[in-house]
Parts: sequence; structure tokens; C-alpha cells
Amino acid sequence: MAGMTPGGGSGGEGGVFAPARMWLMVPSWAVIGFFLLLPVLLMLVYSFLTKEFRGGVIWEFTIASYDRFFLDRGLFGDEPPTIQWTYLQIYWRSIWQAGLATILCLIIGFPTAWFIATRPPASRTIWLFLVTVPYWVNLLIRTVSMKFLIRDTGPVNEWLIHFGVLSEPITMINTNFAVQLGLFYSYLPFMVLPIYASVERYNFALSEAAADLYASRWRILWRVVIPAVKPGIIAGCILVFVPSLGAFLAPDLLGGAKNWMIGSLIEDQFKGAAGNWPFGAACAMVLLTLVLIALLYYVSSMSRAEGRQ
Amino acid sequence: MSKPVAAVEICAVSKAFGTGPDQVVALDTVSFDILDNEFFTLLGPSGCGKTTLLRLIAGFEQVTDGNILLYGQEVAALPPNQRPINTVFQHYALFPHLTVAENVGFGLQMLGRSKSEIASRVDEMLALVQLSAMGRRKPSQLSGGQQQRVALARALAPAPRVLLLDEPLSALDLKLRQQMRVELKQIQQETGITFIFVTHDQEEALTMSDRIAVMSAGQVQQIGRAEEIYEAPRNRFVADFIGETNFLDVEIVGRGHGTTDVRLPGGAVVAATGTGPDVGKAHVSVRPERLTLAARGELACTVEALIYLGTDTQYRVRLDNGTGLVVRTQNAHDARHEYTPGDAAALKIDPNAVRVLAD
Repeated sequence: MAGMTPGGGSGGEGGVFAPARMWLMVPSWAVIGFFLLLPVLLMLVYSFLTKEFRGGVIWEFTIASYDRFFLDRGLFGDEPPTIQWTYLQIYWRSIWQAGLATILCLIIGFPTAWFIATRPPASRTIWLFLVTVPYWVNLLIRTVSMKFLIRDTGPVNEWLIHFGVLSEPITMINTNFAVQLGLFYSYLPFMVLPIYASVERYNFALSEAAADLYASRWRILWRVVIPAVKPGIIAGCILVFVPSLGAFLAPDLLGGAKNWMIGSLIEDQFKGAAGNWPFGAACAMVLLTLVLIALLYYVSSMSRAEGRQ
Repeated sequence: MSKPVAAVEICAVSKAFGTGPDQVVALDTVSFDILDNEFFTLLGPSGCGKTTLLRLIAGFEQVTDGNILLYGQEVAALPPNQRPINTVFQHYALFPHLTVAENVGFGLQMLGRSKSEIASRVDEMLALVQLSAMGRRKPSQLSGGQQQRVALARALAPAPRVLLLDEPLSALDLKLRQQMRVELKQIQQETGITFIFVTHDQEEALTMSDRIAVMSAGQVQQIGRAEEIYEAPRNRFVADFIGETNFLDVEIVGRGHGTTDVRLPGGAVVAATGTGPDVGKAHVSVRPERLTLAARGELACTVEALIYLGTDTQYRVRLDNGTGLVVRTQNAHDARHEYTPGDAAALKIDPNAVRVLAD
């Protein structure tokens, strides 16, 4: 996200108003502190507490939740520990599902953003508005209707059979494909909007300069356009990847029990049958750590890139 | 002397933008040749079509009608990346993510030249524009003048046959602009590349160009050497756009050998240069420095104001028929003004300096 703010904000902005501006930050810090940092801290504490039957916690410190996440000690907990693959597999599936959704969103979102940004200014507003239209409908309802569309007797299968593409319905529901479709559909605008913002600021004279210097269209794209709009692409990828990683509606409704992702696992610990708050908190902490590592890597690579300039 | 080779031939080129009632004609059946090794300038006010013509030559726009030939070959079908032409863009359009050296080497890289060839050519080009020490910097770390030089080096590196320059000096301050004029002219002469230079600045055009095309309203008004454009403007637009001038309403009374006899306001008849309408009323242009204030002359006038300008003095005078004129006199070392506001005087006219205009 750092790359998206124009001007960068550092340097030359201090002056006499600096102390006053500090006070302007107070409300947002208060909101972030109360609604974000505090709950996360609470989860961190919970993840080290003991589970109470049917939800809730007992205030007794233990690392049992993390132990259970990473290590398999057998059914009765008395065997020598081996690596517990169950949860790591869910995490791994989540990462590649989210990664694939991000790539799909990028492949479809980049041309879309490019198209919108190269329209005359008046019609851009309409196109952007159209991109956001699906957000008027609740995500749950959109996901459920997706389920109706792609089920065995849904319109997609029926049309494909009607037009002779298929002889019998193919199962799309409860597959990785369905999860992928759900994630892609849910988060595509998060890819389109930041890339649009970058492309809109792109200086098209650079493309002309590259063409003038004997670059083909393809090379203009790779050597000039993509480096120039990279901040938007990276911001879009983060905005799609991070929520995809923790998504639970699409995997739950479209993927079924076999295709769980992290979000479903955590949800199940708090709301569902498992009812294990400390373990759910521990799962969430592992996820948070993964995301933080990825973001820190991005921020440091961005600041290194800026340091080079 | 061998016959000059045409580098670029513009053949009845028209360019219109938009369709229907919104259509804007940027160029209207323009034809002329730009010669090999020439420093050719397209000069005109903004909106005259000069940049459009440049973009047509570069290939960024397609002609609506007509042909453009590059060394005898039609280029209509060639996209910009296949024309042996390079451009120095108005705002430089340097690639911000590449270093200065990478910018300069970009064209050669796209042409698939070897690494060693690119490196030596980049060094050569950076030396030419005196930026040898800046190769590793990013464009954002350079001053405007330095960026300008990088843009020039980048466009020259692939050794194009024709170099297009789109108001390249407009973003520089005056001192730098004057310095770059000299350097550009030098580089053009050293490299022997045909330069096509677009500007709205007449001083730039007059100081650098071998030939100038003065453009207005999508048409070429006059093509010629700087002196021709200045001394013998073809029409009112050219006379007015280039330098300072005076217009007089005259009556055509006869025709000599290459001259036209015109009757000035007040009755004096002089043999003016240029050809206008055969009979009747016409306009003439007279440059302020070609008029002399004197006790007797062809035109009686009254001195209205006097402005001291250092190298010369500018007098504002009014003829008896009410026409206001400007006269410039070189200052002598004693800087004594012979005439002061309110004085009655006369103007002596050198007939060679009276130019009959086509419209």
C-alpha cells in the first residue's frame, strides 16, 4: 500500500503545523487501538489459555493449542511427537488457493483496469461504478447464488448440456474450482481499483518513447508499462491475497468439508462444532504471523527499491 | 554541387481528428520536402499543426490523406518502432525506473545489439552531451537541463537518419535554453543527422535553423531561410509572427522589375519588394529598424513616446492619418535622443524594406 500514496508523505511537510497534525491522528489511532490492536492482543492471550468445554476459556497458561497445531502425539497424546500435517495442509491449501485467486484476478483485472483507465475521462466513472456494482449485494448472498449457478442441475451445467458441450453435468460444486471461482469473483475489484489508479497516472508518452526506440508492443508492456504501474499491481495482489487467505464463506459454501481453508478452520473453532477458542486463537495467530511476514518482506523490498532511486 | 536529397517528403498530407461536426482539421493538404542533413524547423503558435505533423512523421498518428516519404520510401504502413527515426519528447519521457545509461541504451537494446556495443555507444553518447559521470543515476536525480541532455542522448544513440525534436527546450530557463541552442546546432552539424525541430519560439527557430516552415491554422504559410522569412515575409501572418513589424495600408499604382510601386499614406510612391494584388489596396510590412526618424522623409509623423532599451531606442510615432508605428534606432555611445515626445518629424523609408504582403 505504501506505493499507492502519491507524494510519499515524507520530508518537507513538517513545519509549524506538525504538532497540530499529530492531534488529528488521535481518533484514527484510538479506533485502530480499540478495535484492532486490543482484540488481536486478546486473541494472542487466548491462544495460550486452556480450552473450556463448549467454548470459552479457563485462565490457565498452556502452549497446548500450538502444540496441537504443529505436533501429532497420537490419539491419546502419549506417542512420540511427529509433525501434525492436518492443519499445515489446510494452511498450504489456503496459500495456494489464495495465490491462484490472486494470479487469476491479476490476469483478468489488469486488462480491465487498463481498459477503464484508457477510456475518455467521462466514461471512466461509469466503468468504475460498474466494477463496484456487485458490492451492493451482500457477499453471503452472492456466494450462495454462485452455488445455485454451478451446481449439477444449475443453469451453467444445463446450458452446457443444451448446447451440446457436455453430455452429462460435471460436478463443479464442492471442488477447488468452485472455491477458486468464489474467491476470484469476491476479490476481483480489489485488484482492478489499485491497478486502475496506477494506470491512470501512467505517462503514456513513455509508451510512445519506447515505440520510438524500436520496442515492440510486448516489450513496451514488459519493459516500460509494468515497471511503471508495479505499485498498483503489488497493492492489488496484497488486497486480494490477504483476504483470500482468511476467507471462509467461499470455501465453506462452495468448497464443502473437503476443501477447507484457514478461515473455515478458525470459524469452526469459535462458532462451529469444535468449540475450541484457544485453538482457534492459535490458528489465527499463525495466520497473522504468515501475513505479517509477507507484508514486512514487501515493505522492506519497496523501501530498498526506493532507496536505490 | 549534387542535387540535394530529400530526407522527408510531405505530400499533400491532411490530418483530421474526430468525425462529423466535431471534426477538427489539424493539417490541411500540407506539402514540402525536408532535405538530408538539414536543420529544419516547424514554427508556429500552439494549435497550428506543427506537433501533429511531427507525430505523423514519427508514426504516432496516421495521416487522414496524403503520403509521407522517408528517403523515397513510403512510411504509412510502418509502425513507429520500425521507422529509422527517433524523437526527443517535449517533457523528455525518460523511463523513470531505468538509470541514465539504461535509458540511453534502450533503443540499441531493442534493436538487439550486443552488450559491449551498447556499452561503448552509451559512453560515447553520454560524453557527447557531457553527462559521462551521471550514467548510474536515475532521471529523477537530474536537473531539468540534464534530463534534456539524456533525452537527446537516448534519441541519438541508435543513430537515426532523422531526429525529431518536439519543443525540447521549452521547459528550460533562458540561460540554459540559449546554451542548448548552440549545442544542438553543433551536434546536428557533427552528426550530420537531419533534425526536424518543432517550436513556437521564433528566436529558437531563427538562431538554429537552416530552413524554417512557418505554420498557422494547419497550413504552411512560408518556407525559407531565417533571413528570407524575416526580410521577405509572404503574408501578414508571417510578418506579424516573426519579430516586430509595422503594417501600412497602401495603394498599388504600378509594377516594376520584381518590385511593386505602392502609394504610401500621405502620397509618396515607393518601389516595394514582393508581389501583392495587381491593383487596388494592399498591406505592406516595414520592420521598425528599417525606418529612420528624420527632418524630412516619405511619411510625416508625430513622436508619441520613447523607450530606452539599452542597445537601441524605440520610438512610438503616429502618422497624420492616425496609424501608429514603431521605429527602432541603434543607440550611439552618447545615448542622446534627437527626438522627444511631442516633436513633429518624418520617417525615411528604405524602399527595399517595404514588403508587399499577399493578404
